[in-house]
Amino acid sequence: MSFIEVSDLCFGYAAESEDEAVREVIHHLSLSIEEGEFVALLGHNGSGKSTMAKLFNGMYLPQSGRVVVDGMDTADESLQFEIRRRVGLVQQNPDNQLVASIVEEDVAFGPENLGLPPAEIRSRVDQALKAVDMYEYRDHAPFKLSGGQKQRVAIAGVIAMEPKCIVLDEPTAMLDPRGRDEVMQTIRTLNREKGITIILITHYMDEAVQAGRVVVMNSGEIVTQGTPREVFSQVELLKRHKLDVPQATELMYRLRGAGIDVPADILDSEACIECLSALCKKEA
Amino acid sequence: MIADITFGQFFPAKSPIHRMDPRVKLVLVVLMIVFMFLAKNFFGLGVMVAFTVAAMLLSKVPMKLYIKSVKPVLFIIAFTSLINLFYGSGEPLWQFGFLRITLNGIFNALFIVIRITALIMISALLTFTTSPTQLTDAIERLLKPLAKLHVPVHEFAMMMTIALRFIPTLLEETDKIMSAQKARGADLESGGLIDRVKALIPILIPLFVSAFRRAFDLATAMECRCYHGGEGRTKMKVLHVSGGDVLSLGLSCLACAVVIVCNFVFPSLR
Repeated sequence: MSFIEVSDLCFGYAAESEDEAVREVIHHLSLSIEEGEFVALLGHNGSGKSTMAKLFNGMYLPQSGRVVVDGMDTADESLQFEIRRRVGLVQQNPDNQLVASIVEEDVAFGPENLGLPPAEIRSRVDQALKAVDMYEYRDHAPFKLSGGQKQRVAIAGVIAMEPKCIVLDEPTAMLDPRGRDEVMQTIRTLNREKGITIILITHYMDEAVQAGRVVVMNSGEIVTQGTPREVFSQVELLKRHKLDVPQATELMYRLRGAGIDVPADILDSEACIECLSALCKKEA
Repeated sequence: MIADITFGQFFPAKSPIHRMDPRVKLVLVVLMIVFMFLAKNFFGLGVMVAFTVAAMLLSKVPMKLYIKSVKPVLFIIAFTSLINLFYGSGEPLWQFGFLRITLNGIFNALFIVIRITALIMISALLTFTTSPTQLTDAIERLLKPLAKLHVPVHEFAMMMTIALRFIPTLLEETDKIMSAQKARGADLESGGLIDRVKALIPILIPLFVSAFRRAFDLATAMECRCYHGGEGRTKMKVLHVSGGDVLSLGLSCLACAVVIVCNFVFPSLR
C-alpha cells in the first residue's frame, strides 16, 4: 500500500446561507503517493489544489471516500496527532505561520506540543535549522528576516516534528525570485538527502518541472499525471485548463506549429538551447 | 513610525543579565519598582538608581537604546515634574501670580524625574534582556498555582506570546495600509479631532480584515503542528535558578533593606 492513499474523495465547503448549495470542491478524486516521492500538484485558482493540502493531514475531513496516511484513516480522530506528526503543512504566507518571536523558539513549538523531553527538542531544533541552512539566525526575530528566510524557518518548524511527508501549499507565491530559489533548493535537498516525501502545490511551471511526478488538477478532478516530460508535452490539454507550460516548452510548441521538426518534451532552457543550436548547424 | 518603538524590544546579547532566570528577573523588577516608590528621600532613591545603572551596564545593551526608551514618556515626566515644581511648600524663591517655586518644589520635581526615569529604565532592562517568549514563560510559571482555581494560565500566556509576535507585523501592515490610502487621496493629517478619527476608519477596516485572515492561517499552522493546549506540552528551555540568580536576589533584598533604613535615618522629602 502507498504512503498516502486517496480513494474516491469528495469534499465541499458548507453553504454560507440556507439558499446556497454546498460548494463541491473535490469530485471523486483518487491518488496514491509513494514514500520518498516528490509530487507537484498543479492547477489554476479554484482547481481545489489548496483544499487538497488540508485533506492530506486531516485538517479537513472527506465527505465521502477516504484519505489513508501510512495506514491510518484521517477520519479517525484518535489518530489525528499521529497523522499530523507524519504529514507537515507549510502554507503560503510565512508571516502567518510563525508562532514565537524568536526563530529557535518557533521551531521548538511543534516538538513542544508533542511533549518531548527538553534535550530531545534542543537537538531536533538545531538539526532542523541546520537542514534549512538557518542555524546562524536561531536567536533572531522572524520579522527581521527576508521572506525566503521566514519560509525556511517555517519549513524547519515542520521538519523538527520529523515528518515523513511535507505538504507545501504555494510556499513561494509571496516570495521574490531569490526567496523562491532558496525555498526550492531546500525542498529538493530534503527530498533527496532525507528521503522526505514532498507534495508541492504550485502554479509555477518551472517549480513543477523539478518534481518527479506532476499531477494536474482542474475543478476538483485530476486531468492528467505523469513525469514532467509526459505532462508538459501535452501543451493543448494544459492550455485548455488555463495552465501555462514552461517557456522553453512553449517555444518548442510554437516552432512545431510553424512546421519545424523539434522535440515536444523540452522542459528547460539548457535543453532548448542545445536543441536549437543543433538545428542551426543542420540548416547551415 | 515603526523605528520609534523601542520599548518592549528584545536585544539579543550574551550577558549575566540575559542569562538570569526570567522568573527571578521579573520578580526582582517588580520588587525594584515597588521600592522606588517606597523611597522617601534622595539617599534611598540613590541606592535604587545605582542598582539600576549597575544592572544596565552589566546588560551589554547600548545606552542609546535605554535613552530612546524614555522618549515616549518624556511628556509625562515633564508634566508631573512641572506640577511638583509649583506645588512645593516653604519659602518661595520666585513668584508670579499663583505660580510659585520653592526649594522644596525643585527637589520634589527632581525627585520625580529621577524616579520615573529609573522606573522606565528598569522596565526597559527587563524587556531588552528577556525574550518575549521567556517573559510569557516566566509569567505562565509564576501564575501556575492559579491554574488550580481554573484560571486559564496557559491560554493567557499563549495569547501574550502571539500578541507580542504579531505587534511588529501589524505595525508594518498599518504603515502599508496608510500609504495605500494616502496614495488614493485619503487625508489623514488635517482637520479637527473628529475628522481625524473618521479618517482612521479606512485604515482600521482593512487592518481588521487582514488580522482575521492572519488569525485563521495561524490557527491552521498551530493545529498542523499538533497544538492542543497546555496539557502534555513540554518546553525546550527549562528554567532553573542558578547561583547568579540567588546572588542577584540577595543583592536586591539588601538594596531594598537599605532603602528602608534610609527612610528612617534621613529626613523625608516632604
